[in-house]
Amino acid sequence: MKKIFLAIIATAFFFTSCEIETDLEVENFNDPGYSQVLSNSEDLEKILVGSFTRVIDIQTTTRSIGYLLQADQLTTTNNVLQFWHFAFQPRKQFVNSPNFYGIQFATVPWNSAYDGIRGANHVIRWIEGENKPFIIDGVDKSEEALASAYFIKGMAEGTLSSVFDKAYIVNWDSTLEELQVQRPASELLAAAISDLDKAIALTNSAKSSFSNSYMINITLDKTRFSQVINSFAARIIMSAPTTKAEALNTDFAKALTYANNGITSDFSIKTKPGSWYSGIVHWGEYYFSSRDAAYIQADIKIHHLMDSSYPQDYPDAGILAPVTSADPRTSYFTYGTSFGILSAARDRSLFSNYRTSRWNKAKIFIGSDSNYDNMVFLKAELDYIKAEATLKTAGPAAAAAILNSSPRKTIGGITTGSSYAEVMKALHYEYSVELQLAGSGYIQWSFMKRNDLLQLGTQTLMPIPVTELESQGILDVYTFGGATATGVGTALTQGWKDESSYNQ
Amino acid sequence: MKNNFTIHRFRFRKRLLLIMMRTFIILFCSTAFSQMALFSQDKIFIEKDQYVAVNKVFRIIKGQNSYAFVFPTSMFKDTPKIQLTKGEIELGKLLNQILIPNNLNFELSNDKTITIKKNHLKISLDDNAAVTQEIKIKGVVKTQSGQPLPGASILEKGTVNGSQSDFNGDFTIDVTNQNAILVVSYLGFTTQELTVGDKTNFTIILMEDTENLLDEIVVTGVAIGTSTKKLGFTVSKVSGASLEEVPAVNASNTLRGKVAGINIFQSQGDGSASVSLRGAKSIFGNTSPLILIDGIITNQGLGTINTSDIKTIEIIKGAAASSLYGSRAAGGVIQIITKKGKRGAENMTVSYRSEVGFNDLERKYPVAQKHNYLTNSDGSIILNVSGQAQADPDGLFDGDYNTLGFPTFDLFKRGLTNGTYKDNSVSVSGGGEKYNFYLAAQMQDKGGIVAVIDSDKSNTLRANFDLYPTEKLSIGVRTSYSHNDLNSISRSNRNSFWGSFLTFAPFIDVLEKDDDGDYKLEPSGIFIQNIGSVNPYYGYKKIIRENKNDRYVGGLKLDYKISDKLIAKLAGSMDKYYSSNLTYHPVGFKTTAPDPNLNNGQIVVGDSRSTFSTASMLLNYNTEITEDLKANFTAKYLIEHQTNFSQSMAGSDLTTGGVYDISVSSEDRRRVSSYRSERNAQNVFVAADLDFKDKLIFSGLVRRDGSSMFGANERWQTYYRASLAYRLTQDITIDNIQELKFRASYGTAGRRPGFSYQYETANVGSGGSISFDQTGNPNLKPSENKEFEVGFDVDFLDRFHLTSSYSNSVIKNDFINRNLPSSTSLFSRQWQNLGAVEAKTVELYLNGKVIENDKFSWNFGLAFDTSKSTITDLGDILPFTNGIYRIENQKEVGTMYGNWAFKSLSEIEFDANGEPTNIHTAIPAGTTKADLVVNNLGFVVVKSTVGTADESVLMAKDDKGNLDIRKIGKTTPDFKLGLSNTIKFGNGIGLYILMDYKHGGDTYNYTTQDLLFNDRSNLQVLASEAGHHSNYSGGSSTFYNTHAYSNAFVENSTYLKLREMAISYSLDKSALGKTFKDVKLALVGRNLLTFTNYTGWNPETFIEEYSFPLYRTFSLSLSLKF
Repeated sequence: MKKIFLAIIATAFFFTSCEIETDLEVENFNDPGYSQVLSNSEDLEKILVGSFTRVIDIQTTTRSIGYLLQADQLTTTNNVLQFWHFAFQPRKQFVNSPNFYGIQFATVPWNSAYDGIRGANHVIRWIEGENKPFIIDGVDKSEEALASAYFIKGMAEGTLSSVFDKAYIVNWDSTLEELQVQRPASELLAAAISDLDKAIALTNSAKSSFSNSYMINITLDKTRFSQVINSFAARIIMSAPTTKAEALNTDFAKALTYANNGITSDFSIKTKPGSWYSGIVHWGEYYFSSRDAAYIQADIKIHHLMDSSYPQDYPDAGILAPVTSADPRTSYFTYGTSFGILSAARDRSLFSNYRTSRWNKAKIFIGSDSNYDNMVFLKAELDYIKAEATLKTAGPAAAAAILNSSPRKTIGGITTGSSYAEVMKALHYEYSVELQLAGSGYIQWSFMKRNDLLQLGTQTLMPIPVTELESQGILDVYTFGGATATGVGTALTQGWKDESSYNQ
Repeated sequence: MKNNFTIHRFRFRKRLLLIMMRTFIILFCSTAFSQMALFSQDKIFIEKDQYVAVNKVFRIIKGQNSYAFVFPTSMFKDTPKIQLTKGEIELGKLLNQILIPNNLNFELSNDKTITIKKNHLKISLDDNAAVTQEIKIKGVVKTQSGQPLPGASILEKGTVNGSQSDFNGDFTIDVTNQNAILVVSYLGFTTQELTVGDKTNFTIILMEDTENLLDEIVVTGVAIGTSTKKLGFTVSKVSGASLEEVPAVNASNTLRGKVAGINIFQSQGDGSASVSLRGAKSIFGNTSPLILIDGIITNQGLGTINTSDIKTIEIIKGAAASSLYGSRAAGGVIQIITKKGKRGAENMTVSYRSEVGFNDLERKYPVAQKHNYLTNSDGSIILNVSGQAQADPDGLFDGDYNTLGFPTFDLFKRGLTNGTYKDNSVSVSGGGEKYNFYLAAQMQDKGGIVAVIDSDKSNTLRANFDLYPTEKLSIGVRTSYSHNDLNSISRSNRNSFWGSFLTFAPFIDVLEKDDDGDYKLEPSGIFIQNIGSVNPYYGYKKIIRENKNDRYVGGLKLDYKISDKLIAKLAGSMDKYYSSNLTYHPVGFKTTAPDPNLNNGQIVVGDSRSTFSTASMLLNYNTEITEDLKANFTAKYLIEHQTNFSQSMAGSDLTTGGVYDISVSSEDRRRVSSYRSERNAQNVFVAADLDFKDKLIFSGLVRRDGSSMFGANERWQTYYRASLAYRLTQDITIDNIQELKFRASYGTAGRRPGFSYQYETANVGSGGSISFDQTGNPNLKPSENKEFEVGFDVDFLDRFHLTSSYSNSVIKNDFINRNLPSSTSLFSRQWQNLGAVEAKTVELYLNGKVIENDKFSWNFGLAFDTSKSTITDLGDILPFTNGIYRIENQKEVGTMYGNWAFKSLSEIEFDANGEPTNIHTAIPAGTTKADLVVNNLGFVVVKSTVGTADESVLMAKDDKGNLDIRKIGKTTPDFKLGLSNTIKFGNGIGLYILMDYKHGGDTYNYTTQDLLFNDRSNLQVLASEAGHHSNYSGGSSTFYNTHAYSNAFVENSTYLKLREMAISYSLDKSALGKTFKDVKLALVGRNLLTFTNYTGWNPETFIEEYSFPLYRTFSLSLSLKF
């Protein structure tokens, strides 16, 4: 017994002297938890900033370059991120499969949109659902926060409506049954406009000291913020229709109203290293100095529009000379005889001698440039939205008048004729030239699909990503696009390569 | 039946060495005994080799003859058991065998009554009438780990005087004089001889005989050291001797061909192999085993252990065995037991081993050796105005690179080298009566095959001590330190080192220099070939990369014998790991596009630290419940504590070059991050081992694990096992079979979730923005492996051993990071326990000595296993593909999914009009079956397009019109074989050969597929030779499939490898003099030859994507022991 007693004493001594922590309740100090970040306005403010970042990133993410390739704004034969798949001629069907690397072109905008919606809903619930004030540094910022939340939610829903054929509408007070219903894009659009209207109303009725600082690296007063919301609302309405026929039902008048209340100068956000930056500009203008060519060249369509003698597809042999154009905006692009890394074995018709060089003149990695001004919304885009909406509501002459006071005239020196086809072709020209890599990777694709200008077989919609369907337990995986495909979600005409497409 | 099997009723306990049996026989034959003649006609038939108590020997005699025995009942109470050898023996000799070692005598009366008496005189061999003064010797026999060794034989050399150690290892023996030599032996241990001298009390430590095939003591998966013959489950043991023939470059490769049921995959030539046991234990594939070193749980990988320090390796594969380790051991356990000094050694032993050699690429990757460039009639290239090569319209890869008009290179010769391999290790070991020690050091320098990449260097130190201050207390100390200086290489995509290297056409000179004397970032040939890659030689030469780590593992163990039956063990251990890395781009670093993050210099530094501590207490109680039933009870309590901390900093745009201080970077280009975690666990188990007559052995265990990594509602989990072994040959004699044991076990073990799995987390982005990410799961449990195992072990022909097992594992509660529906969840994902896998494995391991004599010996080991793991449940989630792998109910783990290029017309479906309905590829309208054909490369194409630029493989379409995704292969082999041979000639020459064979299983050759993109795949040359246009196979083809997975690149990766070979010469010991004990020279080769139809680099991989090739190592080693 004595020995056993000694053994027990020794054991006790051993364990106590080891001082080994054995508490099984261990905290995670690396990431905050849900209850922690939702318990005060300060953390909710960070959620708001995070949500805005996610939503603005949808517009310019590298994963939107696929849409620029499908709109023949950019061209490549390289297959990083499956870029080539989207540039391929004849067009390929989108592969809605988890083992297709290009699935990111669907999952990134989808997931980012819902991340934004989730964050916005927390703020809306805090203020509207729980009637709690949004106090930051002792100041009640409820108006700003709520307006921002609805803006973010509306932008996210608007993106979903313009990219996907259907999606879910998620409000903070939705029932589970409501959340599980796949809504057509038209309902998403209505929800987006409703939320953006709320954001506009909240902003317009806010106190005069309204100051929105929930966007990245920028603070907007109520006037500017309202203009920004209106601008996005106009873009979202214009981006909804997937065909010319569908566009007949678009509320262009409402879009025009929003555009008229939109920004009066370009809207941009500066980069801080490590934070958001425009992926489309970074990769769209990424320049191999040793090859005198871009990683992704400007598509030959742009220069065909600037010089009708230029071919629609690159010829099988030889090197094209520079375009002949009086438009000084040829300087937005840089000519070079090098084809860079374009490969003839992978389709010479996709070649181009031009690279886009308007936005990153220093040819640097813009993500690490603390002063880089990322374009989010050009005032010119609003001009063209106004012109197009006017074309559809008031006719080509009025639209031409708008174009004749837009950068097309003021910078390009081009006067637009008053026929429908001339206005339409002018708009296509301006979307291609003036708006190249200007704030969104989707605007040319959206413009071209609503005017039947996309090449035959180009997808005009994205399916709900297979990853999302699987998470819902839905087996019905579907897709769009492909030269051999027909029906909804696929361009059925020759598009811009057929001049008659510009006709009414 | 009776001819072959004889029912035997007597108890068997321990088998003595063969030498002991022979000694007895010889002694008895040569011993004259006064009454022996009386029994000259009486012979006793011993039916089998057995080990019995003395009174039972009397019963045997009584049963066969009518003798009666008279002796005091207490006379044989403490007498060791007797080894009986099968066959006939004269009664007198048998009695001598029993009585002489116990200093007894007998008298025979006329009524055939034998009276046993105490003998007061000692009878010597030489003069059985002589009387000698006795010296009483006491002692204890122990194993090297301090465990008492019952049943050991203690014999006075040259006499029949002997004794045996009792249950506590204690023995007594009376010897004739101080010159007497004690011969101490026990099966499975090396026999030891000791001169008595003036000592009367001995502590004798027997070293395990690692060469012995038939019996082994294992310490892994069991509460205390146990003979493999007494196990109800499989514990494989690999001896140090077999490892020393060709010491592996690192320990992860040591087990090849030596154990059945082990999977060793070396997917990267410059790294360590991954090791897993039996079938896949997760729906995502294999699960790593728990690594123990001398009983210390460690996070150290096998790849960093000095193989020269390894004495033995024990492997437990099944859940019943690994249940002892609870929630850490679902993947099995591998324990490294390191060497230690010999207690009581008269002299120190110094071992030195030096190996110097070189590495060599086993084979070149089959890149295209022909081009399809547009050339003049003389073969000189026609460049376009940009100076780029142009495709030849004839579409054939038939051009000769050497006639293009500029220098060409064999890139494998130009760019690669034979790196040197150096390994030096030294150890000093020894011991005294109350201690032993082992000190070792190793320096290893592993040069790769790429000249611009420095060699990997590692240094290890080990110090093992055992102290025995009293007979009851032993203290063990195990410490090791390792330092590794590694040089990593980028892999696994086209922009990686090998991606660029293999893509480069032969006219690209990777050694071309620019005006600054640097390797040219874009050698001139790059522009001709027109690819986006850059020369990796530039970066690897210019960028300073440091990846260093240090690890200290220390363990302290105190064993205290509280009483004869109760032992207490206290242990504590610590595993401290520190790693640091630096990546420095110097100011002026060149890039193809301006990059302010790199061009003006960049510093990235990081370090991580982890500490893993354990403390445990074990109580072991052994007893004999009845004479036939022995029991052993163990209880253990173990606590674990682990902390991890890491931080990283990066800064660019440096104001000063050549310093690694982040403060010289631009303030707005600095980034910092840190991470910390803590893991705690408390575990307790109780185990009972019951041994009935040495033939029925039961083991039971229950363990409770509490871990901070389990969800809050599942903090404690229970594991258990039950096993039963039945030794048939204890009851039945079978000719030529020395041991036949059947065993069955059932047990559970677990796998812990990752640190962050249970927590609810939000992402904190730059600028403090927050977004929701993962929702918590308080119900998260460890993954659980329940396994049933049956098998048998047989020793036969006195030289062979066969172990066989069948196991069925059911793994439940696997971890899936589940995507949550965007609409219904605040979070994007959650770790959940979902899914189940059933793994069935058959293992056979045969080893033994084919031939053994003075002039020639041949030992071999043959391992066979086959395994199949099937997903049996996925809960409520739909099937999905994880990369190339299909996760679907009833699908085999490792099933590869991808697109399908038709290979047979029978795979194609046709509608009523005869037109195909399941082809996704565009084909001419009106195409019917008659218009399709299987081309000479085995793929279905449109007949009219064969040989033209329009020829294309036809991809399958699913019923929704999408590219079909279906099974294209499986990674799991049908079976594996490993064969090791150790051959020794009497003249000191030895030969060691290790081969391994994998039958079946597929590898996805992504490298070949991706090389199509830049016209560098040999498939294009083969297609051209078969008459197909470059459009058929090139980077724009359907065959290429935009580098998405397809069946066209799945290859059977059956292989036979001559893995290791060594020819050695050991100097004759008689020629060594007194200084040296052993001198051995060896020529060593590793990864020597591969026989396979797989066309890529490495058939060991599952997906080969520009992976680092395995390389051969040739070396010369010198081993000295003195």
